Amino acid sequence: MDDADFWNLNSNAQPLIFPAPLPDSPPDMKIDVPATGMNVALRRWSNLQVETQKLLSRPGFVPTWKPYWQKPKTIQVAFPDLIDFQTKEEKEGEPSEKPKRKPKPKPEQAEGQEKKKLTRIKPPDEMLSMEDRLFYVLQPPLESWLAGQELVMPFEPFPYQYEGIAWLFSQKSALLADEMGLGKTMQTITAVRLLLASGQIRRVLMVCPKPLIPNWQREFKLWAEELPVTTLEGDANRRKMLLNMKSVPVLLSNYEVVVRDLQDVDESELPRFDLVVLDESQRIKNRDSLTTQVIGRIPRVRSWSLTGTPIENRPEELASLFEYMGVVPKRATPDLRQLKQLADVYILRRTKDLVQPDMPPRLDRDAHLELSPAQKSAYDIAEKEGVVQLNDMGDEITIQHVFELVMRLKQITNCDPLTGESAKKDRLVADMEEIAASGAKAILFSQWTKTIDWLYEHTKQFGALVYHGGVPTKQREPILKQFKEDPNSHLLLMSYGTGAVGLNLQFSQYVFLYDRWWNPAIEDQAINRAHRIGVKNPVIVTRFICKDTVEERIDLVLQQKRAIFEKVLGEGDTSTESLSMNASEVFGLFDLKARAGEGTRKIGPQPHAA
Amino acid sequence: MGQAKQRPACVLGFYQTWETPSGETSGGILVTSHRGRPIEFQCTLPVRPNPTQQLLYGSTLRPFLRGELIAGALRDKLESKPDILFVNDPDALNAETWGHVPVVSFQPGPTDSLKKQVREHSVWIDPDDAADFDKAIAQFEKYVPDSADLKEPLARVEQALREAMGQAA
Repeated sequence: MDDADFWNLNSNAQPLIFPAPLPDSPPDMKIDVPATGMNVALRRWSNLQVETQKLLSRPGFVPTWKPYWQKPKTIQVAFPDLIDFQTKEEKEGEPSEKPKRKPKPKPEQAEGQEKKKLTRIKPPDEMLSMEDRLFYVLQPPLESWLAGQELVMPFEPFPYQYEGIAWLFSQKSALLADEMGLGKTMQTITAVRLLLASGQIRRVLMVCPKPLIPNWQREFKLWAEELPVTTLEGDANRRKMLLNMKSVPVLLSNYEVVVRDLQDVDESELPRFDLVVLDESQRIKNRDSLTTQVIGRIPRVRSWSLTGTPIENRPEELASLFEYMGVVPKRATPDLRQLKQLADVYILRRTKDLVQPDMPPRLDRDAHLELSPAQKSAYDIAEKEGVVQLNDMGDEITIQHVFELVMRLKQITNCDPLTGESAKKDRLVADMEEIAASGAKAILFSQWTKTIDWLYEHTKQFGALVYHGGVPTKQREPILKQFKEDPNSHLLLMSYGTGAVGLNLQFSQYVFLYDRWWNPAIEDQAINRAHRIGVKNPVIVTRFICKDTVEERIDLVLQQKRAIFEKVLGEGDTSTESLSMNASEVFGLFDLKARAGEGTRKIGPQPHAA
Repeated sequence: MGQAKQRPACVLGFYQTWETPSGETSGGILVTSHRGRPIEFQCTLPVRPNPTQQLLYGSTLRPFLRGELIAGALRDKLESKPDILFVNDPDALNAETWGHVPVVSFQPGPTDSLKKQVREHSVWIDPDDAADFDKAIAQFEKYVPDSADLKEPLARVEQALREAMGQAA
């Protein structure tokens, strides 16, 4: 079909669709029409008309835009004025130019390691103010802060010590519970030093057991030589003046003096401190003790406590420490689950196994000894008579009676009072000959000063020295110095009470536990005088245990207690089992039954009483 | 014990910007003593350019935001003027904003920037800063300890910006 057919031009048939009128002339362009013929309108010419319009106004630009920026809002963090505790050499010379110091000695463990990870101070989780959080975030990493640019460190701290320092720095309430020997003293002193230097604190009260005052003085001198440390001593007027003197940055005192000087002071007149640190803070584990109550009243901003044994007997002892730290209300009795939650936030505890995998090991060996004939005879008689007496007492028997018998028997295992025979002493002398010949040093612990004095007479050939509560405080430091420096002095005889805490005797390779303490935690403290940071050789610990005596039975109980201690402080124990040696256990030493009313209670003398 | 009131012998500035995951930019400047101890910190709230600004500034938007707008706001607020300013971002290298405080970038800047050496670091400065840089670097060498890690404070600033913007890890 051509176009004519499509348009129905050549046909007479009636068109299906009436076309539009034809133009005067055919279109001069080809119109492509589809077969459906639906667009017939294309046959129409467009009707176009052109008109001109006048512009009414000038064209504008819409929208208008100017390069205007609102000035960003800013936030400021202010830092306290710098406090400069200058060392003597800096006071004399020009302090501003960069120091030209010798490289610091580094511990052997640090050598050969790759570039160290920097330890940054993190804001505590409970800190909400942004300015406060930024204050901590913007502090330099401890490694650079303590790299000798500003604060000189005599030795490079270990990474876990940096972490401990950073943690303490940011904590208002803290319990540093590192295992003995990991450097709690050094970490605390360094954190105090940084807080003082950064203007965060200005007055610190450091409270420790009396025998440890010289130790803290020495450690402050070593780790923060620029800090003036004042010991609270002298007559009452002088002590009162020191307590209220605001220009004393670090005031060092012992528990007894603090209690004596502050127990009668009115609440409103108590001296205020920015930080109170309690060393060996298990001293306040009993909420009802005068010491706990007096120390709890001291107005303070930060409350730290230090102990390697936050739990000596029962988990509940932690509640008293938490109360001092202000993280539980007074007289609160948190359950074990709550205690563990608080511990996660406020306690930092590391063990040697965790932080010092390469530290020389501690080798425990139990020396099971046969009593000498005279000892055996004396022991058997004493035990037999003692048990008979106890049984004869009937219902009047108390734990104290049993305890007295235990003490008498233990003394016989140490030495027969009549003949002076002693299996332990003989073994000690034999061991010491070997130790002295090798040039090594040993420390020995006993719970009795009389035993120590008696042993001294028999070990003079090894240059033995005595260090117990009967030795005047002023003579103790020279004794420790002599033991360390005198090559002819191989043995230091110590009491648990005086020698078990705070001393650094890591140059000793041997530890003897001549008799056993009632609590494994105290024994660990004693052992850790030697097995601590800086130890270069394995430490051999020898426990003397006489066969078929009460010592064997006590050893069994101590082992069980140790297992429970580790369980509670370790992965957690949901039971409320008491850690105290209870009456049943003590009576059980002699196959006696506990009487009514003898529940769980602590036995044995106070560790610091010796 | 004496309280130091005077200005440290050499004051260092560390300027860092940070882009939030949602595309906003904030900046912070940490002023420290020559020993790295903080003296002052200022940071801005995040700035978000609108689509028109993004379109019209084009490739100059980033240097403008970082080198002029945010840096200028911080400069105006700073109470402690640094002797030398370190940046880790070539877009923040803007000599005009900081006047006589030489700006030193640890990253290569525009093609006309001058390459210099500060301790073990290669750094770039604006040619206009050359004289100020020579003067400041003499103070720097005299007082800043050799063991100082010059890039470390910039990490502190970034962490602080994250903390301030609620993005702390």
